[in-house]
Amino acid sequence: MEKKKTQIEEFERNIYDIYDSDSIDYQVKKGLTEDIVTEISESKNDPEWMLGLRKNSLKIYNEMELPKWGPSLHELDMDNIVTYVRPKASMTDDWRELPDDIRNTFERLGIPEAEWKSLSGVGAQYDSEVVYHSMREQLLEQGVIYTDMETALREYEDIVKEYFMKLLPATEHKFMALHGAVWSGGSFVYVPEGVKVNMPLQSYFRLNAPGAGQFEHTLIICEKNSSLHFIEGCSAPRHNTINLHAGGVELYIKEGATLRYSTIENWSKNMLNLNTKRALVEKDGKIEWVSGTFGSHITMLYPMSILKGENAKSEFTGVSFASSNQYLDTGSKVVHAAPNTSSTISSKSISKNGGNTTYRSAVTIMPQAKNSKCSVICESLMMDDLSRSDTIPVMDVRNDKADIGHEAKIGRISEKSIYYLMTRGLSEEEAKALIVRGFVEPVTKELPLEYAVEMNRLIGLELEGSIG
Amino acid sequence: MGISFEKINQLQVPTWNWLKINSVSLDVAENGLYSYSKEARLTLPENVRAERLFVQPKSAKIPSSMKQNYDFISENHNSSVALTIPEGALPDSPIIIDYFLDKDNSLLNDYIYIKAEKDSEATVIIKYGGDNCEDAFHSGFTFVEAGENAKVKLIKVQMLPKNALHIDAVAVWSKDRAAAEIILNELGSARTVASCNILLKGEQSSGNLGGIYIGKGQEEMDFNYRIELAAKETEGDITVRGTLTDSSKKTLKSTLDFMTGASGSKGSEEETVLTLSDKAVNLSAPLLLCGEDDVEGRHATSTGRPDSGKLHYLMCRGFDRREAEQLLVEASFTPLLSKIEIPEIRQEIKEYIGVSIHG
Repeated sequence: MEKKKTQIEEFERNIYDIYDSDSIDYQVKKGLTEDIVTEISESKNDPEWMLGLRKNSLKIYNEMELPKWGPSLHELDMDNIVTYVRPKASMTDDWRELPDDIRNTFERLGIPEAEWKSLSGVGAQYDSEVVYHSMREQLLEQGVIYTDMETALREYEDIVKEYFMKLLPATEHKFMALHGAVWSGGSFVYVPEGVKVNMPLQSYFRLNAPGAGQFEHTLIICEKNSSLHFIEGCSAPRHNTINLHAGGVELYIKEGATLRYSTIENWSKNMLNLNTKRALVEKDGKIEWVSGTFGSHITMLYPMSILKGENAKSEFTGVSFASSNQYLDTGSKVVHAAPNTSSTISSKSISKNGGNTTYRSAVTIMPQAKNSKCSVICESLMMDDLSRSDTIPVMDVRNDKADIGHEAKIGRISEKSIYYLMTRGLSEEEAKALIVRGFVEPVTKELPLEYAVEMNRLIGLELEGSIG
Repeated sequence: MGISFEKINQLQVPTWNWLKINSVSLDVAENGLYSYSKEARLTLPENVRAERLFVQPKSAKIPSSMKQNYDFISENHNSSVALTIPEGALPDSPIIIDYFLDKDNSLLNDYIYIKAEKDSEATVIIKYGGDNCEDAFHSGFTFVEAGENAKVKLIKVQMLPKNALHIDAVAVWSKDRAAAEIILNELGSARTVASCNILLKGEQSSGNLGGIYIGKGQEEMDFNYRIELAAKETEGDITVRGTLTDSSKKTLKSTLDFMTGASGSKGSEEETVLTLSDKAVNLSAPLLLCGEDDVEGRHATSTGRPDSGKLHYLMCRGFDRREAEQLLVEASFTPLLSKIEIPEIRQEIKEYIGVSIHG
């Protein structure tokens, strides 16, 4: 069969690219100074310790260098980034109370509909502030707390103080320090002991303002034997200036608890997405990461699981899809720090039209993590010779009673597979689309229906008519 | 006076600094070391030319990652051998270059240039051994130019004294339809920093890189193995088998780089590590880099103790645990050791491995 290059068209982004030009109530000046950090803190009525944390983070930010690995961040000029933008909306638990433009944006993205059909609660952040938050009555009765971080800081200050940036200290890297200095918005979830939250909670982050940064902080505590599925979505309209996202996600999973954390990220292609996520998993606990990365100009994102307690587990399932002018550097980190811990990493990537994907991972087996197991599988699909796909895993094994397996594959769509499907009556286009859909299926099948639909909107439906 | 290397053995694409895997820097005190003043012992078939000269490669380039190694050797070499296997030559026995360090010859910087001309076929074995010296230092650079349709097999056997420091680099440049097979047996030394770069520049050329290592005591090893698939229909395979005992530490950086234009190329890398001690440290970074869609690349890494079922089976048949482990280690090395044609050298390596595992 004659060899032909596969082509995939650009995604349809219409619903994501609508920009609200009149939604800003107040914003700080461009740049990053102690005055700006103090201004953000004062506008939020932070307690003294939080102002101290912000100032200390700024100091660390100024002392740290940019990473010397990964994609170049030379386009980032902090002097041109606005770190806090307050929208013209106060937080409410009634969609009807939101300004029309903001409400319409979330309706176009399908958030209220999803809340009504299949979610236990929803938070919606617009630029730097959460504008909508609600949760079903039944969860309130069970003692579940789901609110924005600012409210949590006021009403549950002791809990926030105990956990906030303890898992993700400002010293972690330059953008965690930046996050500590200017964080705003995000979600706080507390699931009491033994409570199983049957329907997911979802937070959606929309960055509307050009040249702005979004620095939301998500803090989830799942107490002993509880369970939760938390979904995070994010998008932004396309601008001609660089936008920055440097959120922080801290997840505490106590003994016997399970947390699934699903993300569909569809930032616009002027976004530098430098997000940091970490989970601490105690005895018999489990973290499940499901991650889809589609948008952004540059993404550097490696959710990390620290398996601190015996029998703790981590599963990571991720897919990334890079097109022209995109550099998606994603993967996962796992630290096995206790006996009988186990982890799996399954990563898929697709590169087309000059897009760059990098799978980057680190698996560390500590000396005390006897009888631990880790299995890593990563597969990369190259659609043309303009694109790049790199795999950069590292395994650090420090005891002899661990079983570690790692497999990776790279290449184009198998011509044998296309031929086989064509002999069964499919056209070449249908065969290729079917194969690509099958390639990402391990991720779509892990998502709730609404998000699988969004992912299909991003991949499946677009592929079907355009591969060839 | 000392010898200094800054950030050698660099990972082609760096990653998180905290992993401490990106590069190696080291300083060596030369006090008490004596320059190698003996000639290398050469065993040459009739139709191979050898000169004791430093011959720079003409058309081929030194990989940028090895420039520091090459510059050091070009300035400081105290032994050099240039081999030419003439066009069409098919020597009937391997070429052997044998170095042996002792207390009066404890500092060796060797440069070996191998040119296999068109349609030639040869095996070159380079041995590094030593005895009776408290400390020893070896730095080596071997350059292989494989001409059109040439077949070169290079086997290096490093069994230097237990306190030695060993820094070695092998660069291979292949033309159309050339086949290079490199087998690196890193068995001795307190510290090893070894690299091999095979550039498949010619269409339908192939490179096979086999690595054997064994870590014992406090030994530290850093390997950087890389195959660049730079032309159409090239094939590159990296196979590494290792065993770690005691408090030894090993870092393996292995890279398959499918460059744009290498359509129809295939490559695989595989590492199997047997760990026999809970104090051993094992780091692996198997990179797959790809700038071409019409390729097939894969890698697989596994690490763990010898299979308990196999151990049990052997122990049921009368072997004690130590013997059974040794048999399994030998078995894991067998696919690579079987490529060494000379039985005496193969046996010497097996005995060295046996002593290394259980003293």
